[in-house]
Amino acid sequence: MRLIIKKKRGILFLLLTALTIAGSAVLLPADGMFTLNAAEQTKEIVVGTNAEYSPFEYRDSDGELTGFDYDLLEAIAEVQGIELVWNDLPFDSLMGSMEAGDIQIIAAAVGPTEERERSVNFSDVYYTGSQSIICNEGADITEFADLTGKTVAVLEGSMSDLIVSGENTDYGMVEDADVKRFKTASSAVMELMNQGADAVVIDTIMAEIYCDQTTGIIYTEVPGTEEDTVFCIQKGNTVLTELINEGLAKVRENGTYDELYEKYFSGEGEDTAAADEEQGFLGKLKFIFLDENRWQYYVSGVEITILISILSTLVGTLIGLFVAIVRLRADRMKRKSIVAGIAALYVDIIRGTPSVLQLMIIYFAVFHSRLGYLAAVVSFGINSGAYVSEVIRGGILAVDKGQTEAGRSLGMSYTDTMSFVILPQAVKNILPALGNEFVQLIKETSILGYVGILDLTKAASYVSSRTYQMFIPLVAAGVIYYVIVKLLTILLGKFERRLRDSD
Amino acid sequence: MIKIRHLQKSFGQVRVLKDISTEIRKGECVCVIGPSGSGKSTFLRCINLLEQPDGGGIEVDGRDILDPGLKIDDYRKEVGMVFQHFNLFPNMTVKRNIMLAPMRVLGLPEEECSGKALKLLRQVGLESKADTYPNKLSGGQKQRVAIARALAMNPKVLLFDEPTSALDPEMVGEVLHVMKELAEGGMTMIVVTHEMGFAREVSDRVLFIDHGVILEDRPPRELFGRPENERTKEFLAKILT
Repeated sequence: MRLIIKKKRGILFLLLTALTIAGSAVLLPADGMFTLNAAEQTKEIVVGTNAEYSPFEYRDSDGELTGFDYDLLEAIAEVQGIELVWNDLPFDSLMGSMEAGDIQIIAAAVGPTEERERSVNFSDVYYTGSQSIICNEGADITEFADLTGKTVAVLEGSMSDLIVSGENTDYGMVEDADVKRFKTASSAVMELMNQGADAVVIDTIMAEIYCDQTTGIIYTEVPGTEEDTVFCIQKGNTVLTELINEGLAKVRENGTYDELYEKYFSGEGEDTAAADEEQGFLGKLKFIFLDENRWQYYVSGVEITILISILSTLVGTLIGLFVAIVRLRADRMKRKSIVAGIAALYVDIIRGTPSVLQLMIIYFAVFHSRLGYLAAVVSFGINSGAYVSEVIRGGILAVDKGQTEAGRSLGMSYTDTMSFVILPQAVKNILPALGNEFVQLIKETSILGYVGILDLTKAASYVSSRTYQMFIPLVAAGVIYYVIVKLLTILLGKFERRLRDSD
Repeated sequence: MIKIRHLQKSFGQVRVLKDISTEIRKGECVCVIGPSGSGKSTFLRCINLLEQPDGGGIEVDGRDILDPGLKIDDYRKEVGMVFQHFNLFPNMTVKRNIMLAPMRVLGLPEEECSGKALKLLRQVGLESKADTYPNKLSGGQKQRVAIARALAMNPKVLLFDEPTSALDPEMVGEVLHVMKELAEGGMTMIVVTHEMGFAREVSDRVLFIDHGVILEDRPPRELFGRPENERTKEFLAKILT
């Protein structure tokens, strides 16, 4: 038994490795193949960012990327004659994407740490910020020493995270803090307000905005934490690094830099959303959903969620049908084939691993952060196929054995019996279950945000980060999910009843 | 026409057929009787290879059908089977039930199959039900359609596996009537049944099977008139009271 288990694990590992290597080899140019020659620049430069860090990078009301970093780098590109392509990714996968050669620049308010310097080049400093501690009024947490033994919320992978985790001690020691890491600033602040954390450590510029919006919390800037912000450039690409530095100097000279600084950091920037506390609950709703047409995020989020769910169900059904027939055939022949073995292993692996990991592996490792929608459909299709194959297998096995015997006793082949007699009957067992799979997928696709797709959940989280409101945008998404799922369930119920009546 | 030699079949540890040998001639109607669990149905299912025998031999028209090189589908189209539970295809009309195999297996044109289906339905008295779905038929009607479906392949022999056991008593007669007409028309038939009246009246020979062996193999008048074996007597006494 132990031996068998060991062997299976080995196969699993090999399979995953093979899959990854095959994916990389087929889909992508090898790392480092892409080196920029500034003089004869024809290719576009791909910039990675994470548009959830207003005012540095975020999306405006039309869903377009904007922010200080964005405008600054675009201005640099313009004076230097470079074409930029922006790729919105989770913050913690930016470094990985650069190492994989998928992006050449990171513009995401990154601090120049020694650790990072090992894998990337840094541009000159373009902004200097500082760290602040936010706490509830009266808590009196104002310096790093006060954080000892406290629960501290931070933005995952940010400079604050490094400081609080004790990895970066340049600005002072934080000892024995219990760190909670969040993907958005708004959820970190939410955690504080819900008493889930004693303090939030975050960039001063963000702390300022949140404390302005929210009563009951105050921030203190920590002296001596002034930190630089740089662009990261592919390791060893000195041509591009110099190009960026030169451009930065030019925009500082021509006044563009000051304009942008004024626009984003003076607190009067038109893109910095602000809640109007005076207007009460309805005013808040208007501010969250109607101002800057933010409801449109929800509309496009619903579209994306439903579209990806439908396509994934279709792909899953095709895969599931194939796998089910392969496995049933092997059972019938009472002998094991390699294909059936692989099919069984596939079902086993997919059902035994979290879908969010499957999605990230397929998007980052196989698709190398490209063709996000396709990667999502492939990933959820593969995931769904494993479940659907069991549904189809069950549906086929549930058809009376006498039907197969009748077909075969008339001299009909297995395939003919299957296609004309068994499958048409199995469809009645299978269709309702397929509908359920679709409904399940609508909820399961809420992890699409991990690969930067603006589905309904991500849209809500985005609106939350833009409005500095934590509760209402997320509840709104929940209500929308519920209504969609409920409507579909009712429709399915009707459909199922009609199928049954036709017997 | 069918020669069966020392046929054996086990399911796991249970030896269902121990040693069955017999011969069925062309045009003969043979009834197989015996207590439940005696192996009658398994015997029948071995003949069209719905069960793969473990030992012995079956020869049909001089062909060894246990030869691994045999094309099973080609063989089966010559051997029709009628099941206890009818096994009509619920997803198609009565006529389509009958047409499916001739079209798919024999490759006959649709029109020809349709004409033939209607002719067969007339033969079993169900012409008016051609476009009905099976779930709208009574048990007796279903079984008559099942017989028509088997006949559509022009089989050399028809196997009946307790064709009237799942029927309400008032419907048994209509099915037996069709079977009797077939037997009189010279069809080779092997019928596993509990209908002693049919066995006595229609069959040419009756096999009494118990515990996986044939205990009696005689014309019905002899078997029912003066059964020799103790167990046959016991069985007949029970079933005929």
